[in-house]
Amino acid sequence: MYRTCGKNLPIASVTRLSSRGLSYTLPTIPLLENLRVGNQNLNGLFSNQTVNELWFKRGQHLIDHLNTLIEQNQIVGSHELNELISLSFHKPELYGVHAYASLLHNLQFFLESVKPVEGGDSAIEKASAESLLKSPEISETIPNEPSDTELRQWIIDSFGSMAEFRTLLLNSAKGIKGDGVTWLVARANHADLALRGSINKSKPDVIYSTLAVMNTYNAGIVDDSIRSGQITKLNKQKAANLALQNKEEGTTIKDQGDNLRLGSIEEAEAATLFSDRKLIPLLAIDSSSRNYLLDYGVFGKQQYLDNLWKCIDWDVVQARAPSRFRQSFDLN
Amino acid sequence: MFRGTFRQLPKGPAKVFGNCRLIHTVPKLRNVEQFTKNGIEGLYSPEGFKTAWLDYQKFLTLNLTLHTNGTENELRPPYQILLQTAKKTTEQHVFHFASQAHNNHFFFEQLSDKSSAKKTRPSRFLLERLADINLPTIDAFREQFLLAADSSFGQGWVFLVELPDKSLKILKCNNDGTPYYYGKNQSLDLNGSVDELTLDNLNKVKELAQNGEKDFTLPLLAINVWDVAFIQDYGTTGRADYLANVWECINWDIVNKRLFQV
Repeated sequence: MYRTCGKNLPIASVTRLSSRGLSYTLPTIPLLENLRVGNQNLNGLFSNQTVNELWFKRGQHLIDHLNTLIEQNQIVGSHELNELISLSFHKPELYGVHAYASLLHNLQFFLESVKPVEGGDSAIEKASAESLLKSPEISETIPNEPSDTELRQWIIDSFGSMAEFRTLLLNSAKGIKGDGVTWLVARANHADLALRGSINKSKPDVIYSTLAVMNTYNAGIVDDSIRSGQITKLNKQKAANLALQNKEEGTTIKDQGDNLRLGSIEEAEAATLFSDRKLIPLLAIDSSSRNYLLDYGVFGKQQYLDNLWKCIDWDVVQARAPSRFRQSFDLN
Repeated sequence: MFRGTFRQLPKGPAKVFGNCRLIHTVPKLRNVEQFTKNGIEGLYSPEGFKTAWLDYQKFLTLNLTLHTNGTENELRPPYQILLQTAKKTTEQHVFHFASQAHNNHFFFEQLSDKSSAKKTRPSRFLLERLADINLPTIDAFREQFLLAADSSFGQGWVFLVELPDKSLKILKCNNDGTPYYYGKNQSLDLNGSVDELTLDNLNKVKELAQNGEKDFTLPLLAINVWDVAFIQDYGTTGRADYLANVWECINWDIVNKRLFQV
């Protein structure tokens, strides 16, 4: 289902088992390695110095901290970075491990989604304060559209048009004030499964019908199924513990007609909105300020995002995409 | 003759507030000429100072002007705007610029050259208050304070604050959090797994907000832990070095005066 052997699919992070247990090394991104060796800019997006800061210095910094924490917490066994992220999620004591692993994963995912652009008019230079006063672009013809017709059509069907998609994607990224990543994701849910009638199968195929844009913040992760509803769950757990305790002590709480109470909006959302969703990330755009401060300056976020759009490697995005499920009939 | 008549013109209209507009500009720091030329000795190069203060504060105040123009907030200074918008879910965009502008100004006011900062010391009164919260020496406080600043996973602020009962507290704020209102401290990081302590704190904040509790916390000392404050001189991984240098450049005379004394 999930095309894993596309020609441009990046090399997975290198896991190695040393005598001390699990440890990671900085993954190899061929494009960035070449830039470093040739002392070149990532044309159209980053200067050589910024590539060095963002990946080789910061990437290594994240790896070092991750390995230190892994050793401290004595995590053993061989895990891919993704597995480590999932297995450390529900353990508060491993929050540091989870955060460093996610940050590294997100950074790698982002840097593998871009390619240099030769020529063109995207300058890497510091913007001035006046750039904040510029009117936003309203042009409907946009550069660097995906060449693959299937992916193109999927985007248009999900967002209306390429221009609308570009606006939503870049404005979502612009809306992040602190650290964060904007994602293009493919979405599946049980409602779609029911449509295909595969719900009765013992192991239904996961089918992806729509594309969506979402933001994650700091070390946030895309996977909804493990991160949603934990506050509600914890609160329920706590209430249950308290009730048990009260029962043991012999005190009873008056029944306040809870059966008749309507739940809160939060409870309703937790119960319906996220539980049956599955997301696959296709594209990541890192809009944390460190990405543009060095090359584009304090006022340069818009310029950075405009340039970034032109540098998206749609071949990689396409290779990451699951095959699309089309409804054979229209419900409307 | 003409002049005479002119003088007698009523001055009224100009005073009507409907005709006034507040343009937010970069506040003038005490040593701004010297800092612009030489940077802050022991902390910033001229270029680093430009990014962290001149450019960034310009970015914040310009955005604040653009976003408050023609709204109820247009006559208010950043501090009042941040208080006005803190509870409004649809105005968090404005809150961001107000809170950041206020915090960054607060941070830069307390900085000076390393050599002159060395001549200032925390007052005995401040040290006594710190001893009350189990930080008996200034080094113990430094340790705790800088650790709080260095331990977050994103952008943020760390404050030393004074509570209504006059005790002190180290307060960590994520992103654009403000020390003035508990609902917008943003001290909790709910990105990863939430432990019981965090959950209790979250529920406590909710309860306070439901009861409409007021917050009388006041900041005394702040450190800017946003990338913009150090990336130019220290790079993406230089936060720890930057924090150590900030500590050396704190003008304690300013901080001492912020502490309320009878």
